[in-house]
Amino acid sequence: MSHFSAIKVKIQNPNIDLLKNAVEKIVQETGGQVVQEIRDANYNTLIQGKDFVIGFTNDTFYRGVGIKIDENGEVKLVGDFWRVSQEGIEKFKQLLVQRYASEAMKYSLMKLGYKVQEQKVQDKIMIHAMEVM
Amino acid sequence: MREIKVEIDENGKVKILYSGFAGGACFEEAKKLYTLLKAQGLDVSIETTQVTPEFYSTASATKVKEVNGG
Repeated sequence: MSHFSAIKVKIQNPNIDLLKNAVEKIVQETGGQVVQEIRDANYNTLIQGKDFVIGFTNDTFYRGVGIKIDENGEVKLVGDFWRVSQEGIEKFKQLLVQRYASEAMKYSLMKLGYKVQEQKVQDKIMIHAMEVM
Repeated sequence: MREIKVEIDENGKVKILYSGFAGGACFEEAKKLYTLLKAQGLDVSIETTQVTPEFYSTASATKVKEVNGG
């Protein structure tokens, strides 16, 4: 018996390790770099590593952006967004949801006893899970 | 063999196809998967669910088996 489902996902109270993995993959894909401090528009240190889960720089966030989880379990971006395009910020948020969903899906499927393979096809992430015999 | 195929688009929409499950096992597996996803901080809302042609062929095969066996 088989079925097909379409679901919509949202990140709430994420697993820190999966969140780090998701961000690291985006950083790799966008040619960025993980950093320990985020700078303001005058290139002074704005926040340091202890204040966020993971931080990075790339073409969009050239002074850096930190990813943190607020008291409601929501993922927030912290940094100085002066002259950072709103479109770039929204694009990153989308990528983060997609990447986090992929990491959580792979982790959950492996917990259920599947062997998983991931592939990126254009803008979509495809996961193929096969039962381990 | 049980297989699950997942497609995640850039808008956070996820399509999941379950195949190779016996009886209602695919729905049980989906329930377990959603529970695990939620535990990992992924809030899931189901938009649509539909059975595939395999659902009917497996259901018919099961029925035939039951008739023959009983």
